[in-house]
Amino acid sequence: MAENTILRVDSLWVDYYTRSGPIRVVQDVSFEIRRGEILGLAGESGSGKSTVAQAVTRLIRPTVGRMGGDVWLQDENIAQLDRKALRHIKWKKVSIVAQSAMNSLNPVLRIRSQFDDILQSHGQRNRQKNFARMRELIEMVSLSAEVLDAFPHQLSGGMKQRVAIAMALLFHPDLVIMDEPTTALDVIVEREIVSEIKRLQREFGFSVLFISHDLDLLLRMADRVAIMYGGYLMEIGSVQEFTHPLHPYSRALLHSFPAIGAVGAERRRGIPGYPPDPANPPGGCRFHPRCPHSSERCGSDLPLWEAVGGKGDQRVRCIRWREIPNESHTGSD
Amino acid sequence: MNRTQALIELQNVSKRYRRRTAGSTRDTYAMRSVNLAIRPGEVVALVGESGSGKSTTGAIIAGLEKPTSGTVVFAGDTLPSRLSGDQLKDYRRRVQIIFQDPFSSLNPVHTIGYHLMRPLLIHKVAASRAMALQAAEGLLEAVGLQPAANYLHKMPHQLSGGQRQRVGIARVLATNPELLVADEPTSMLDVSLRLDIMNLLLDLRDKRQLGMLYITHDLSGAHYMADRIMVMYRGMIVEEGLSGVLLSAPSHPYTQILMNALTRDITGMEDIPSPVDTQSAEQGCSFANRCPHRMAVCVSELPDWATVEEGHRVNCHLYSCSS
Repeated sequence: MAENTILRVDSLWVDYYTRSGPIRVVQDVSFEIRRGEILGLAGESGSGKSTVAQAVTRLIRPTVGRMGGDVWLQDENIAQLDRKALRHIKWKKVSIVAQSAMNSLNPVLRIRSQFDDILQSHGQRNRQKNFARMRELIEMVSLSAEVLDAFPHQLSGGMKQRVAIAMALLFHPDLVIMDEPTTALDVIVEREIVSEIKRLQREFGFSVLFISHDLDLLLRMADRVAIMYGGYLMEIGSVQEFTHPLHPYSRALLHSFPAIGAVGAERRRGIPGYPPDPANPPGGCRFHPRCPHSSERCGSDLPLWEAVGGKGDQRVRCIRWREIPNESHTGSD
Repeated sequence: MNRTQALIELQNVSKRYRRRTAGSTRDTYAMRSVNLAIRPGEVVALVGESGSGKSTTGAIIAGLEKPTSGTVVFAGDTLPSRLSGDQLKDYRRRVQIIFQDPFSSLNPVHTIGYHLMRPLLIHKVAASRAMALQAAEGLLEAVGLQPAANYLHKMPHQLSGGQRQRVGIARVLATNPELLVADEPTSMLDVSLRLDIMNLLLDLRDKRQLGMLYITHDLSGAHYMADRIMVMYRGMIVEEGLSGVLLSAPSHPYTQILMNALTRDITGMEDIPSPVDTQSAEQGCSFANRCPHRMAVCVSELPDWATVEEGHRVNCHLYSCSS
């Protein structure tokens, strides 16, 4: 593994058990995250993006589903670790800010006790030292130390989210996974939290896997972006490369954000049809039934996770990417 | 300028919610002297964050809430403070609301057909069940759920979110309304489906000359949908104007912050005024507590409207002082 790679996910797959048998919700997902980088993972609901986050942190319970493939966090394969070894890694090397982090705080405990719980369970029993550490963290996320004495319901959504981020940073992890941490917040608060994350990330050098359905936000905050659809990664590349994305789905997705500020918004076409049903996905490329460029082969051949070549490490999963005219996503139709 | 008569007009409408706890009352103003007019065939977007009072405004227009003070004029007639009987029924037929959450706005134990036939029968749009069934099919086709016969007998849980929202739209069309309140109709939907729903609403506006209040927290969606945009903050309309004009020169400090949050690069270096909220001032501007340009007058007096340019007004002391 390259020296500055923090996380390497290789051929990851996840099944969920259902009454009618297991269904594959993540398939052949491979990507890397480098030290000090923010990778944005975009996708719609049901695309499998949150499942990737859970698989990477081994949060898929054995009663709910199963996973395979490799998840290398530096030199340890998380996919193979036993429970005991996992405990050493969680919080310390990789931590997660869950989708509902705002509601994952215990409502009957003061913030201070919740920090203390985590510290104690990792063997740090010196109360005074613990308190100093939580104070430091709470101030780091731009809250005042009084917040530590509050109950979660006394805090606003944005403040709770800051607390959750502070907790994730308790043990200086190398990687923080954030699953839609700002989706429930208003745009201005969202932006404040995101700039806070960027500031902290610059200061401490950890890497971030930032999951969101908001591609526009990801393109403004991340270093690289990956796009998921129907359980597969469809494209990965730098933010720069995404100004001219290669996959028809990436293009369609970018095109479905109306532009702001220009006088006279023009009518845009949405993506026809509906996202695939994971229990009964279309054959071939998962996107082909909605794709404006689909050919007969697209319905039968599964496209590979193909390196585009060139300077970067852009990849795309589309058999026709070379043939499709390279229009900029800002063009209208 | 001689304009078509407004379909609906709110004149100085305020809405106060009073919370009584042992020994004390706390008032929250969800709307403060709101003036708003929507003409037939016009889409007005009401933009604001949660808690701004935009849904309350929608509920008052839809007749689901009563104003604490102020007047609501519908099609030239001042509405009585309490609608009842036939008048209420008539109002409900002519003004319809689409809700945000397509998952909770349909009754899980009834078929799609039932949801569509009910308003048709209640408002006597269809004279018999057979005719209602036929009309229901027509409605499903109008919102792009085809072939309609496939959907009539389905239960809500058998449809995706996007399909359910289409059913929600078909249902409000059943009574042939003149005015639609669309309360964040796309915010629960996947990105790839939002544009479709927006286009559907615009098509319906074009075909039926519907007036529409489009409630959203998304400025770019407002720009796409609306002829005019009104920006609301804590019960107060702070800025309004023709969409393109307002967005090319946002003038209220709040609108400017909102625009920057949406368009600027996120560097992680700059400061935005603190979100930590404080009870909004009773007399002054709602935004005074967060405003980077706050003056003494902002906390003591309500601002006046000032014209920025043709078709663009701002409700802010910064502008009324300098003029």
